[in-house]
Amino acid sequence: MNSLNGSRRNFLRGATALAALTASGTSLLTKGARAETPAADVISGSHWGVFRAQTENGRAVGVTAWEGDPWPSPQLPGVLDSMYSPTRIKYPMVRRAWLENGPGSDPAGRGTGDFVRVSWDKALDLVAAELKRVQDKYGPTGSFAGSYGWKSPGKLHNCQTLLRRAMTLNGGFVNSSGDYSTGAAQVILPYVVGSIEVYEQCTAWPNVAENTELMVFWGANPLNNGQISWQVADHGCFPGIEALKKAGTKVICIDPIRTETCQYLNGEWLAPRPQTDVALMLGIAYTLYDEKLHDQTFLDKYTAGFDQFLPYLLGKTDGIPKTAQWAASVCEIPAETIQDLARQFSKNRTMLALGYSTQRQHHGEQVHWMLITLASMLGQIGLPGGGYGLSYHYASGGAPTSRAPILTAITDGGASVAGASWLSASGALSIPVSRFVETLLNPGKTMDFNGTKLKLPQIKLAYWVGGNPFSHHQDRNEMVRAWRALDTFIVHDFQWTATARHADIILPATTSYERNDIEQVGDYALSHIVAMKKVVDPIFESRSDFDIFAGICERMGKREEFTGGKSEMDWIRSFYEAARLEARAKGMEMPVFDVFWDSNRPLAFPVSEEQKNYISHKDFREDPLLNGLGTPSGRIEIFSKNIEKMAYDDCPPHPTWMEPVERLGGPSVKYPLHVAAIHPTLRLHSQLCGTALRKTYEISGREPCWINPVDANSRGLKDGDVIRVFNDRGQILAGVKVTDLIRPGVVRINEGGWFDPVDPREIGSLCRYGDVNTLTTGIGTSKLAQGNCGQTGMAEIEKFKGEPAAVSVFEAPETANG
Amino acid sequence: MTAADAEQMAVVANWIGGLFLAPQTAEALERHLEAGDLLEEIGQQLDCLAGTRRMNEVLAKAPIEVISKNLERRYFALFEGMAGRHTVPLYESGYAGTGTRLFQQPVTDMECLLRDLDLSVEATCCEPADHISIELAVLAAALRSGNGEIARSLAQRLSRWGPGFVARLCEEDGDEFYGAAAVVLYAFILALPNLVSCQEIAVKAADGSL
Repeated sequence: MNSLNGSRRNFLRGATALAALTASGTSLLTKGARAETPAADVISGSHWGVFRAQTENGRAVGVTAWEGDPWPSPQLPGVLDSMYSPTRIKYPMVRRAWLENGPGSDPAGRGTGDFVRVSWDKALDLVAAELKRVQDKYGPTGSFAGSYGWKSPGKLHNCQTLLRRAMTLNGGFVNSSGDYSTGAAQVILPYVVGSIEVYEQCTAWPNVAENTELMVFWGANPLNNGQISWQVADHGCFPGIEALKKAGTKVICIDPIRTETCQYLNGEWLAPRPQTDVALMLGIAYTLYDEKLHDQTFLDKYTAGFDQFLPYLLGKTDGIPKTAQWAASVCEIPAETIQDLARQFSKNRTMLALGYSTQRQHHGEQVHWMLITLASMLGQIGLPGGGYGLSYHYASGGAPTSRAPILTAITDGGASVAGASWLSASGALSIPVSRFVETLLNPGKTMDFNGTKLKLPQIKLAYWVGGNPFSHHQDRNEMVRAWRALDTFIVHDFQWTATARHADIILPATTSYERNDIEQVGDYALSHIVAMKKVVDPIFESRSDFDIFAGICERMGKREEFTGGKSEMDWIRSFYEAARLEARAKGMEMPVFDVFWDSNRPLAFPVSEEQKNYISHKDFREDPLLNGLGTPSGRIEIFSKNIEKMAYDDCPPHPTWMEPVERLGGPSVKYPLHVAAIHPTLRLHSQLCGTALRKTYEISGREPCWINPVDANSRGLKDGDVIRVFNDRGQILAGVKVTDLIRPGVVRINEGGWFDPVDPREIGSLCRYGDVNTLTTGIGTSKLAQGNCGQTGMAEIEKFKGEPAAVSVFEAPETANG
Repeated sequence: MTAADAEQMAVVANWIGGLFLAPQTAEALERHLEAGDLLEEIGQQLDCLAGTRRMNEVLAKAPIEVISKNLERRYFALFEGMAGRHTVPLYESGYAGTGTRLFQQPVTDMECLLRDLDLSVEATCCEPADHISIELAVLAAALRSGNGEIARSLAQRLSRWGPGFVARLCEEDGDEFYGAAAVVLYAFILALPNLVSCQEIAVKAADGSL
C-alpha cells in the first residue's frame, strides 16, 4: 500500500484505540445474510382509497390505485412519500429542557428543536411515570386525551381509541366531544331533525341524477373533498357527479370560489360575501312566503314552529323584514337574483347540498338550521331528488349503501354511545374539542355548552395521537401561548409535523402501511371490506400505536387489560368473524378469514335497488307519526323550545341572522379581505403537505393565496409574488395566484399548511410557509355548540419587502449527485 | 493489498462511520480528546490534518459535558430530519438524484452486497442499508474478508454519493465537529481508489472549498 503517508506501523498501533473511539463500539453487522424477500403486490387502504403496493426486497417501490376504484385520487402517490419521507421521526425523542429539568421546564422552548434521542425503554418509562405523576397530583382531569384529528383508518390501529383505552386504564382523563368538521351543525341538528344528520346518508346519487331538476351546491365541492374518506375512500360520488352531468341537470353553485364541481358541471356561479349564507337564505325564504311559493301543507304536517319563525322573517319582531333587498345588502347578491332563486327552487325539483364549511363560522349553527327551514318551505323533503343533503361533498355521501355488515372495532373502554366513534362517553370529563385552548387559558372558568355548564379543568398534560392540532386549531398564536400552561405534551407521529415539533416526548409511530389492519370501503357506500395489509416492516425505530400503548400499560401493570390478550392479527380476525356472523344473519356468506386475507382483494357486498334509489327522509314523509324524527315534536323543529330554555344570546330559538365578529362588508370590520380557509386540493388537511405533492401547488415555495385581479391590482400584486398576510392575530407568508375563480374581497389560503414560525419562542412570529389558522379566530361558534370558527377571519395583504425567510419546515433540499 | 493494509482501512472506515451513526456520548468524546495524537496521525495519513485538528479543537473548546450537549444538538439539527432545508440526509437515497424519498434503489443494492458477504445489519440497528455508517461498515467487512470486488464496488458507491453528502455537511456545519468530520470522510473517499487498487474510480469533486 502506498497511498497513506507516514508510518503505517504507528498508525496500526493505534487501530485498536481507534476502533474504541466512537460511541457505537460494537459492529453494525452480523454474520448471516437475510433472505431475499420476494417481490409482492400488496392490497391495502388509506383515506385516499384502496391501493396496491408493489414491493421488492421488502421495500415499497410503487403504489397503484386498486382496479375497482372509479376515480383514483391524485393524492395517492403521497403514500410512498409519507412512508419514505426524509422528515420521518426515526427514534423516540425527549425535549432536552423537559428531560434535564423535569415537566414544565422552559415551555417557550417547545418547537425550537432541542431534542435528545432516547431508547424505547427510557421513553416508555418516562411516559408511564409522567402519566402517574399527573394522575396522582391532579387527578383524572389533569390529563387531556381527547386527541383529535384524521388518524389513519383501520379498526384496530385507531390510535385515538387506543390512547383513551390506555388512559382509562391509567385512571381517567379529560376527553373531547364533537369535531372540527361539523362542530356547530352536529350539536344543533338533533334539536332540529333529531339526529346529527351531517354524517348520515343523503338521497342516493342515482336518484338525484334521475329526479333532481336543480342541484344547488352551497359551499359544497364534492369533486375536491370526495377524494378522501374517514374510512377507506370509495370515490362513489364521482360517478354520481358524472351521472348528474350526463343527465344535464341544472346546477347552481353558491360559493366565494368557482369550485372544481362548478366548473365540471358548468354550473351557475353565485358568490355571496362569505358568512352571509343565512341572510341569503332568509331573503329566499321571504320571497317564497311573499310570493306564496312556499308549501304550507308540508310545513303544517312535518314541521313545528314555523309560525314562531314567521314574525321574525317578516320583520315583526325586530323591525327588519328579511326581504330580498335586505338580504342583498348583506350578502351582495342582487335582490332580483335572490328572488329568482326562490322561484327556481320552488318551480323545480330542487336538491340543496350544503357543505360543512358554512357552519365553521361565528353563529355557524344558524346555517344548517336555516337551510333545513328553507327546504321545509319548499316542501320537497322526502321526495325523489328533492330536499336537502348535508354530506354530498364529504366522503362520497350519496353513494348507495351496500348490504355489508358493520365491522366492529377495538373500544376505548368507555361507555359506548350511538353515533360516531368520537362521541364516545369515555373520560372523566369532556370538553368541546375546539375549546381546548380556551380551557388551557381559563382553568376554573364556567363555560356554557349545549344547555350545560362546564367547569373547565386545569390540564397539565396533553397526549396527542393521529392529529395535528398545530394545523387544525384556529388562532395559532393564542394556541402557542396556551400550550405554555402544559407541564407535558406527549405526541405519537411519524413525521416532524408542527405538533411533533412542539412535543416534550415524541414517540415514532408507524404509518398505517407498516402494520396490519382491516377497514370498510366508503363511509356511506360500505362497498367492500378491505385488508389493510402491512406493506413494509416498521421504518426506523417506529412502532405501532398498539405496541406503544401496550408498552406503557405494561409499566402500569395493565398490559393484559390493554391488549385483551390478543395479538394484532387476533384482533383483526375477531372483527372479521363478527362481521361474518352478521352477514350470515343477512343471508350472505363471507369467506373464512384466511381465505379473505390471502385473496389480496377487497371483499365486495351487493347494493340493493332500494339503496340505489334511497331517498332521505322518505319514511318520515310517508308516515311522520310512525317514522317521527328524534325531536320532541317528532317533526322538523323550526322553533326549538329546548333551545329557547337555554336563553343563549348567541343562539336564539329559531334560525336567525346574527352578525359574526368580523366579516366582509360587516359593520365593525378592521381588515378588508375575507380569508377563505378551505379544504386543500392535494392534501388531506395537513396530511401530505410534507410530500412531493406540495411541489405541484406551492407558489414561490409558499402556500398559495388566490386573489381576484381587482384586489391584486389595487395592491400591485402579480402571480408568484411572496406576500405577507396579516391581521391582529398573526402573520404568514404566502405565494400569490391571481385568478377570477375567486370573488373580489376574498382570498383563498387552504387550511393545513404546515406552521413554520421564524422564531418558535416568539408569539406572533411570522409563519414562513403559510398556516392560515394563524389568521383565523379561536372563538366558539356560540354557547350552544362551541364549535370552531375556521372560516371567520379578515386580513390584509401586502407584498413582502426584502428577502423572504426560507421555509424550514419541510425536507432537505433535493440533492442530485448522479 | 496486504491484510494489514486492509485492516487499517477497515478500522478507519468503521471509525468514520461511527461518528455518523448516533450522537457521541460524553465518554466517547473524551476518548477522542485523549486520542489527539492518533487523530493527528490519521490526519497525516489521509492528508486531512485540517479536518482532524479541527475536530480536536472543537472538542477542546469547553468541558466535555458541554461539548457533548452541543454536538448532540448539532447531530439532531443536521441528521434527524426536523431541520427542513438544513437537514443533511445520511442516506445514499438522498443523493441518488431521484427526489427526496429515502429507501430507494441504493437500499436494495446495499442489501444485495450484504448478502454477497453473508452479512446483515444488526437487529438493534434500524437504519436502512444505505446509511453512510452502514456503507462504511460493509466496506470494512469486505476489506477484512478480502473481497476486493465488493470493496471496489463500495469504494465506487462512496465515491459517487459521498462527495455530495460531504458538501452538504460542510455547507451546514462549516468548521464545527461534523463539518470537520466531513473533511476527513472526504479525504478517505479520495484515498479509496488507490487503496482498493481501482484506479478507474473517479471521485466527483464535492466542493471547491474542500
